[in-house]
Amino acid sequence: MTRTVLVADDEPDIRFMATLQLRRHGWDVIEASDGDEAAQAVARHELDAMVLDHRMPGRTGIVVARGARASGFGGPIVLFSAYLNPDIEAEAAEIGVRTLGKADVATLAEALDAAG
Amino acid sequence: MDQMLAASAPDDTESSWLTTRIEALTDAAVAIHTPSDVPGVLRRLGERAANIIGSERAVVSLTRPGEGPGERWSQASFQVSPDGETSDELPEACAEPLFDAVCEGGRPLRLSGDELSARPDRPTSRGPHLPYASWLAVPLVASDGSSLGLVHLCDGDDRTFTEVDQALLVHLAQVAAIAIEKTQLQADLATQEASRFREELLSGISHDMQTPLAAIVGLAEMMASEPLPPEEERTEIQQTIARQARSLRGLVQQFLDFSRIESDRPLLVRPRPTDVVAAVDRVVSLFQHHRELVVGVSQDLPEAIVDPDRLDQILANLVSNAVKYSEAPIRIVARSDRDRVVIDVVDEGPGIEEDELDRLFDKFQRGRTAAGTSGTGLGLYITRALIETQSAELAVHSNPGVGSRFSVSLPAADAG
Repeated sequence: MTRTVLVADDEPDIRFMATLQLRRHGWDVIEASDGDEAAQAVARHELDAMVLDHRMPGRTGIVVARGARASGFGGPIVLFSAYLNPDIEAEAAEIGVRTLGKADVATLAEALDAAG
Repeated sequence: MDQMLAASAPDDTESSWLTTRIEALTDAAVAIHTPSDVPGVLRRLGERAANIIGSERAVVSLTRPGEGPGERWSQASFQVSPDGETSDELPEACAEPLFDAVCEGGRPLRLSGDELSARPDRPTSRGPHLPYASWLAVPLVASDGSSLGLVHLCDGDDRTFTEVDQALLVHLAQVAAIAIEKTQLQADLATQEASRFREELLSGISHDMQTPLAAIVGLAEMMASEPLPPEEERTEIQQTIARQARSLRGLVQQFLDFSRIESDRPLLVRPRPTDVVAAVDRVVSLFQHHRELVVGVSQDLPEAIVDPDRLDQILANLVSNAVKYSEAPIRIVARSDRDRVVIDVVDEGPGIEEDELDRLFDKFQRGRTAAGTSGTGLGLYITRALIETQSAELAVHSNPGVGSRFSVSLPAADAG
């Protein structure tokens, strides 16, 4: 059975690249272009994993992740950003969210497998 | 000083002499604290000292501690003549031993002509300017007690410096020493601030570069690995790589331009007849994935005299700003207006307040609503420089709460 992943990023080209890459690795992809859309997708869909940009309009990535964990989502979550301040890194670690530098987004699929 | 005043009942002339002197000292203090660089302070000190005390010549010099003879007194020196002329001249080498003595002693030195001739370390030659007949020198002492340099007055054979002259000079020297330390502190602060700006800029640019790099690396690796992406995806992949590469180039160009502007070098521009419609198409293709763009182009629009690469840069900056600050569609209009070709970029964003308008084109300005978005705050600063370096104009109209319109006006190619 194919697994479904949510890709949330406000940069269309990053979404495009992430979506293609994850599809090549056998994932079904649902896209969101900001934090609020992402939160809606979490509520609406049965997701197996999430890939979230941190800096987005609306809710930030960590807020979306926090909400998903709070409502019982146990699957892998990857949070990426050009720079994450230490507080956010710490919170991510606490709620089982793997962080990734923006420049490393090319290795997204591996990061997702490792987070699982 | 108190004893002196009490000893003789001040009559009118003495009172007014004192008042005049005190007023002159106050004036001098203000003047000495005005310049924002050390040479300025030294120059003012010399002028005022020569003027208030009434000497033929004043020499002000800073010292470089730890340096050998001939090098110690080579920093910032001025000779002030009675007609107010200053010249940047090094104190004569033969005066150095006496200067050293003053600074090492940390106390004023006042010598009559005879006393001067009796000293073994007296200057051995008469310079072209200095009569070396009567001598007064006061060290400039920093707040930690170290010697910064000295101020030295000299005069002709018929003049001997008095105790009052010395007291006046000590006062002026002290004011100057404080002013020197103050300007040095200000210079340090300015350097630190410049450093901080540079760091923030570099950090901002490397931050902004990560998105295009991520897209390019991810997509290029896909094209280079097995299995090759399906035919129908390949075109879009290649176009995305090209688009992000141009975006990256734009960032680098921005940094290079900023460096040139900062070091006062001219920006490289080659204005020539340019197809404005094609330029609008290029900026549309850059941003159409980000935001709905509504384009309007007049019929038979003439070419404009402008550097096409720089026009791309200007339009990309204006549209990128509009995208950043507004969710609504953005209108791009290219039209002719008499002998000009005008391109408007219109957004329905928050608009720009009066006070922000003044700073809009300054470096490192970000909009009030910019929090959370990337950007170096240099776009409009560089855009303005690009406009000014060609015969172009940039006008801003904004209505807070309604939107903004940025209009680039270029000379039409076939004017007249």
